[in-house]
Amino acid sequence: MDLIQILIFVGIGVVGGIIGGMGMGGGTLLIPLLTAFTSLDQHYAQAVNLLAFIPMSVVALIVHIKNKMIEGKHILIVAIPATVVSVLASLLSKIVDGKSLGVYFGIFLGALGIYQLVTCIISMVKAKKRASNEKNN
Amino acid sequence: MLLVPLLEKVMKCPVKKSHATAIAIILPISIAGAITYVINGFFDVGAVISVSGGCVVGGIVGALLLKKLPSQIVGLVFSLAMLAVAVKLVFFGG
Repeated sequence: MDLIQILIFVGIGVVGGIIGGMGMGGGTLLIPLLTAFTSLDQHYAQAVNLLAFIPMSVVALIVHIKNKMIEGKHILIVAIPATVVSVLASLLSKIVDGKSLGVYFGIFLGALGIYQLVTCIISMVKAKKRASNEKNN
Repeated sequence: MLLVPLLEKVMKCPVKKSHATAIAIILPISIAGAITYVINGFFDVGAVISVSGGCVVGGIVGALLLKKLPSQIVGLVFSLAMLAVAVKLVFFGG
């Protein structure tokens, strides 16, 4: 591996890490960047994404814990079923056709994204109204 | 990407805390996933080490950014990212 290749890997890692450290799913960007700009194919890129996520998230979590941003009571309630389901799903994924699964997930994610966007805009408008009310008072 | 809205809307967790907590929840899942990939032989040492190095630096920056940014901006950026991924999955086959 030459220096330029290493620099590309590191650069892609930094971009994915920033998004991942913010809890926005770095892999969604890291995997396509890896397959587009390096010689890695999809499976290798997914493996790199998962492996690189481990040290990144440990470091990011240390920062978040220091900043008191972790809601401890939610972790176990969600993490245990989520891990079990994801292991089951990974076993299932060998049977199910990946392409149609991706489309269904995309539709679901799109609906969720619109809902998320609308609630976000509503809270922004509310915050603005509150601010202007305070100004008037 | 599903965890953040779950934490926010169902568990009533504040926006920024949802993002930070989601990382803690994803960690065991990605360890499990990483093990299966390595067992199946999808492992490129050089790529893993160099991407991980970059990722750790980026992770610190991202974690500090999350603390600094107002939660409305975090929510807005995240919802747009969700929509972008959705469009990609539906129209461009992942």
